Amino acid sequence: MKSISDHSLSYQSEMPGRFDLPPIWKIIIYLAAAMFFVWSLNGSAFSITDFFNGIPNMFRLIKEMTPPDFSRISSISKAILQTFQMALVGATIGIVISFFLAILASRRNTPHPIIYNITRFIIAFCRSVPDLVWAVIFVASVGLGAFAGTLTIIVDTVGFCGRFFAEAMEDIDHGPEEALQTIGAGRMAIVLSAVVPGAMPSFLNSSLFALEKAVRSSVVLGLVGAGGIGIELKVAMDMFEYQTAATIIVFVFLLVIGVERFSVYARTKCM
Amino acid sequence: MICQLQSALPVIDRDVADKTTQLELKSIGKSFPGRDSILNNVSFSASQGDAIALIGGNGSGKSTLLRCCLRLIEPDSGSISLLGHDICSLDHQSLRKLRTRVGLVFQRHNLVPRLTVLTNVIHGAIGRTGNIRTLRQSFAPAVLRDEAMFCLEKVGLKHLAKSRADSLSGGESQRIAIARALMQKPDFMMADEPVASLDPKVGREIMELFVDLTTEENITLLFVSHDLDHALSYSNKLVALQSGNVMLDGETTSFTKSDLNEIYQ
Repeated sequence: MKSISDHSLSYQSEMPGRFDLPPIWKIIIYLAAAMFFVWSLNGSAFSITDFFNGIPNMFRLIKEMTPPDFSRISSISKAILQTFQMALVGATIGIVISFFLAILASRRNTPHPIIYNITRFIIAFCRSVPDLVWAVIFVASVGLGAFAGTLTIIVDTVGFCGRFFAEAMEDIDHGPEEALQTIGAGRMAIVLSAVVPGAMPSFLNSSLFALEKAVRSSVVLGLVGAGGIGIELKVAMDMFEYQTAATIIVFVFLLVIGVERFSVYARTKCM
Repeated sequence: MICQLQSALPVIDRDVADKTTQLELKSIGKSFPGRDSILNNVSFSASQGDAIALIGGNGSGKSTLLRCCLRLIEPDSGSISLLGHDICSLDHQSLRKLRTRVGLVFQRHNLVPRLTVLTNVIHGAIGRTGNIRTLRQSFAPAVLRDEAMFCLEKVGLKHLAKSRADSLSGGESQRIAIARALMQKPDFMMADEPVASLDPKVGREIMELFVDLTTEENITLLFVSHDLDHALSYSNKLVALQSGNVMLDGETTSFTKSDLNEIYQ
């Protein structure tokens, strides 16, 4: 009997090739995708030359920004606090709405396929429209200010969490559901007793990501008048007050990093 | 060795006189798309207080049959009478009501992770009470909390009431699953390979617990097992399936281990 270290073994005739030539239609698709990418480089005005020409301007801007001007620290602090409050309230309300929508949008728990399709459409619509577009719509509807920004974050969070909550409910181990079904529990009791506890780690994870995302969104929403620190940054840049802008950027950085660190800590504690 | 093992196990002593039929299957057939027929013309019955072992090789249709008994899977043909009800003709509400009277213990315990043991046991009362407060032990009525502690005491795990279900060993989890089934105050207990994932010692303990509890309360027990020693030791009736057909059906004492081994040939 041959051993595995016997080098006289020969399977040349049965050995699969190291690489298989893909079928011609796949080669055509790959080539078409590569050509589209090259064309897109032109369409996006991508230019290495312009980038290198712009580097001295970047350094000049950084030089003009330093040292940061802390004379307006009081108003900047108020704006950064409002930014965080918008993110917190918007994300929290969005998460609560997402929870109920996700139950209806998960195939196993929805009471009817029509309700499933409607809720899936609502969630997809919230997600597919960019947050700045929602902000413009809400500013036009409820006026300038933080409320328009908060509404934007709610809708954005529903689009994000609604999808992930529904998928989490579909992906859990369905054994406990079956156990409660055999006990004679109703659908709502099964959802609340087995599905929600099973999907809770995913819920927490998605919710914390939603909060991080909301904080980053709330910073830029001010650019279109939807409250928060964004408007302060825009005014400072428009007025060439680069040192004040530097202070705002430092505050934004601290806020985003702070929320991210809290999110990481909460995830490790709660999972 | 086997003889020694069997002599160490409790002898099932169930009063077989004057018993009502609690489960009656007549000509049950079931097939799934793209597969051969899973169950063919399966018939047998169980009377009150019986402990029936359902044995058979992998793919012989045991688990499908068990699920058909609760209409978790719809049989294609035949009739099933469970606790005096023709379950194939029951509407959704009546079926739910009937299921509350049947405890089913799975191979994998199917406890809800992240919830406490006490909450999991109280869940056993969801169906029979219909009380929303049974969803968590914190909100449950005092009487249900007491009943759940009693069930935990019955399975010897009262001290784990506050523990999380996902922190338990396999044997402990299966005991909690039995406690949850007891919390239903069932008239009938079913178990789908309840000790398949446990070591032999814990497996024997769990089977003894099952038999003791069901004998004590005169609850009918139908259990699926691959362990022929368990089948011979813990049942008074035995049904063997092979490729969806009933090959053996009768008093356990009328079969020897070699009879049962033939089922697996």
